[in-house]
Amino acid sequence: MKKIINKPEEFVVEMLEGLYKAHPDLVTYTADDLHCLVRSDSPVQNKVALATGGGSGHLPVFLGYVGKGMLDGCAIGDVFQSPSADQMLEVTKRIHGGKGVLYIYGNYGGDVMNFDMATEMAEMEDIEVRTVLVKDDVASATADRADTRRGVAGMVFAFKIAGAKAELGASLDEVEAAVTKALNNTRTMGVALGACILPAVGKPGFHVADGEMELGMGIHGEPGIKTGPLATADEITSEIVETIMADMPLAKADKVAVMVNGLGATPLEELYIMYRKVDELLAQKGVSIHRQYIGEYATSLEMPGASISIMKLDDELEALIDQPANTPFFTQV
Amino acid sequence: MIRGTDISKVLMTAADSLIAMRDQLNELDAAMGDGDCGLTAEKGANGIKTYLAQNPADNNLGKWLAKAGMAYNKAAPSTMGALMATALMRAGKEVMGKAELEDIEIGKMLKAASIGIQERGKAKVGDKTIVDALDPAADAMLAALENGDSLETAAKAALLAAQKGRDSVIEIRSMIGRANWVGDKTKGKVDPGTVLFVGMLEHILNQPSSQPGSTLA
Repeated sequence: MKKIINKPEEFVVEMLEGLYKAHPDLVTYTADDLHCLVRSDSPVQNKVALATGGGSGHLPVFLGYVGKGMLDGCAIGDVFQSPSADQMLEVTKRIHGGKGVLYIYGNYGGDVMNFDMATEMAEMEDIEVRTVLVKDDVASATADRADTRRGVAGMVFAFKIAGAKAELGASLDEVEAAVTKALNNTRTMGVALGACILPAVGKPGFHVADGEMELGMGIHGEPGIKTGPLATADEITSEIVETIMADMPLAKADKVAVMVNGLGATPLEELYIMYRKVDELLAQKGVSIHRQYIGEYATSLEMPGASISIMKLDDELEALIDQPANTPFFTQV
Repeated sequence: MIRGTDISKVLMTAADSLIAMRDQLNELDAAMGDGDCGLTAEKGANGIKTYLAQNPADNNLGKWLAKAGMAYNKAAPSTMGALMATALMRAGKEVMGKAELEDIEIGKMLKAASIGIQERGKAKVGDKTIVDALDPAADAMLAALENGDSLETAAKAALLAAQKGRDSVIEIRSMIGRANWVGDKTKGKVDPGTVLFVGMLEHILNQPSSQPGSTLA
């Protein structure tokens, strides 16, 4: 293992310390626990509060999206591990501004269990909490089992849409409806060229052989749908976009937002090569790209690879994705 | 009437019993899971004991119990921790806002705890989990109390039902969780969750500890 760290067991805490030092104007923590990150101006009164959470190792997901126009708080766990229900509850109590709290997070067992417990505890404190699970990874289950799919980079679209809707003064019902629609219209699929290494483990937990790639691999190394020889950028991009469109048909004159996301060790250059092909494929279909995001939005430590997310837009989603946002990792004016 | 101090004593005894069963639970778990059931139980039990020492029962037993559940989960943030915490939270919800309890409410709390564990753990009777001891115990207790039996009689009925439940799943295959991956090898093995619940009840009721399988003919 070659990593720029001090001690593996300090990986998460020292990362958090750096983040708070870098962005004191945007974020702080509550309950004397660095893992309970909130907007520095929380609670924002008379706004639906939005919270997420999950394991470390995916920056900018999750905590990089806490700020005006996106999320209000985030509970962060150890690398690839759920934070505790208690930490989620502390975040919930701190961000509640009187209009309820919406949880938006990826569909993983440990996270679901802890967020559900936090929900029950919050209700005892008279805070109304709703949940929308992100299940955008088309490769993680077939369409008939779509409800069991995992949440990956598409959750950034969900954060953006929910954040914009809440900032405009919408009710909990309205924010929940908007983000549910956004997620029904969002699909993601990725490709991994290699493994990532958990600092506390020190060696890869799985392998992608030399000269091979794994299409559809999850962001914690969950098995994908196809392992084979490394294909060209155009071939990989075509296969991903076709799989997404088979699951969520796009028609002429549709508008979409596109995200080409690096998993941690893939250069921006390669992401732009992929984007070039996405643009070409969608243009052939008569689909127009309203906004595009190219860069690292949801990573898996130093995993080489990328994912492509597509969100189909209607008038409401188009207006919401255009709203401004300002967080440590996401600025849109 | 049952007071907060009574419930606090019962929880303290239950926590002590988990600590006493640590090695036994680890051994049972190692045969079909990852072998840390006892360690997790001990961690959670210590979390509860600290909570009880620092937070005497107040006038809202429901909220006090729910917070005890959170203390357990904080000390042992695992699936088992989440399930035990859920059991305490749901039991608490059943008596929200109350300072004293009727006997019948103990039965209702036990049933609520069982339903909570089933929902959170996505387990049902027959999957070979703690539910197989807990759920029949809750039903037996509730039935006895509804019948007008004393709390002590009802608790003994619950214990017998829990022992029978524990023994009824020894020969079947685990259907859920890590033990499910072990598959058919779990047949004939005792489920640590059922042993944990029976052992806890035996300690609380000051009864001799029974051997798994003892209720089978």
